[in-house]
Amino acid sequence: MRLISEQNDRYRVEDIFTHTDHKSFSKYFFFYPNYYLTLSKTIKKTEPDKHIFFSKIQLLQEQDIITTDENRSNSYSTIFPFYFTCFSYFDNSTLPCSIPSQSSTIEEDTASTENQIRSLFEFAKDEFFEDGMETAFSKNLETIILKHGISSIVALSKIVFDKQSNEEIVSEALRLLGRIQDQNTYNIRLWLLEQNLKSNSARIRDGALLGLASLDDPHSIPSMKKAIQAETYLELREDMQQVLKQLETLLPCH
Amino acid sequence: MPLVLRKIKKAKWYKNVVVPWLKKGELQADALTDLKTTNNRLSVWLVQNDKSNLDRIITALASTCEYLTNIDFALLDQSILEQLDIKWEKTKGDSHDDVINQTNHLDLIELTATKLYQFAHKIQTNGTMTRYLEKKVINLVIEAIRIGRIAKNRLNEKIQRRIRDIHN
Repeated sequence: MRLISEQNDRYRVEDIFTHTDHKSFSKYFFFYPNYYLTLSKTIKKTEPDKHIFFSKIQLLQEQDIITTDENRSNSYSTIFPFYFTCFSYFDNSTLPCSIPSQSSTIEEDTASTENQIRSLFEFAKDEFFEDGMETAFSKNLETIILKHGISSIVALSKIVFDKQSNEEIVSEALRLLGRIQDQNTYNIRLWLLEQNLKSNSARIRDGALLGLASLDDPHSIPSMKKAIQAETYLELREDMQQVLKQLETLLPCH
Repeated sequence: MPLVLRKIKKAKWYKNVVVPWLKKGELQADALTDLKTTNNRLSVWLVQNDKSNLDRIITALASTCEYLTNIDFALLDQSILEQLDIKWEKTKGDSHDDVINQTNHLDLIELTATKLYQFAHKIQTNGTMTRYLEKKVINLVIEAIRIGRIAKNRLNEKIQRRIRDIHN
């Protein structure tokens, strides 16, 4: 998620969740290649970590871009099917409109995949995780992700954000997200990893960090810098700094 | 005095600062899973005190993996073994670096649960824990293959494929 402010009250699409307090979307604009989409519905305030997936937005074509207004709020769902589907999992009260029918398949797939992933998490409690060694958990989770794509990451997100989930297994799952070779889920995996740099669990933050180190994508530099600023545990902060240094070598000025 | 190296996972060794239920000076029980013994023996590697062979040992460790990733490890002064009355013997390591296997591998032997805990405690209090990121590990392995220290065909197929992809 990028942090670049375009103009006074305009933000790149990736920015919005770090810039807004979620009180209202009406004041903000989504920026996508030269087009601004105004979202008109006001939504309730949510906690800062209640984020929305925007993985599909990169796939939008010029003809898909439409301007919405108060009377056409359902149009959002055409553009951002995942936005509504995913958002509904985390906080239904923030939905600006009902989940569109076209995303029901996605929702069903996500629910079914979630059950599969929950089973994997259950079985993984008996596994021993060693760096560099495959486990049944990592193999099966990778298979599910490659088969079900984005909906599997949405399902995984629910488990990852669940405070009752086993931290070690969540950490392993995050590390795997960085290793998977799959362009279709790349952005949402990057997003999920960046979000987990803010986890309350140091172990999960470390898993996210290692996932991001594997992805080796300089786009996560802003998130990494924020995480370093917020990190209170010296050892983990040093590990984050090491990853930041690695990512910065990928910047064009180097 | 040389250093003793053991591959670990740093997160299992986090202290009470970030593990709220852990009391000061205590170890997470999961840390002991990084010290898995077989026949009451624990495999460790010997690093020269100037760490001049550290990269080579990490490369050797990476060579036995199924895929390349970061390597976390703890380093501890070898004198600690004497302090804890831990016996050791030189044994052949199981990496794909035959020289390192012969010269730099030890088994800590006749370990009791008490000694293993004491060893773990020393790692946390006197040891240094370091992480080599995946990218660095990959570069080390590629270099080891290039100079003929490790035979590429002995590596796991997944690692060979990864290296091929990098070259392409």
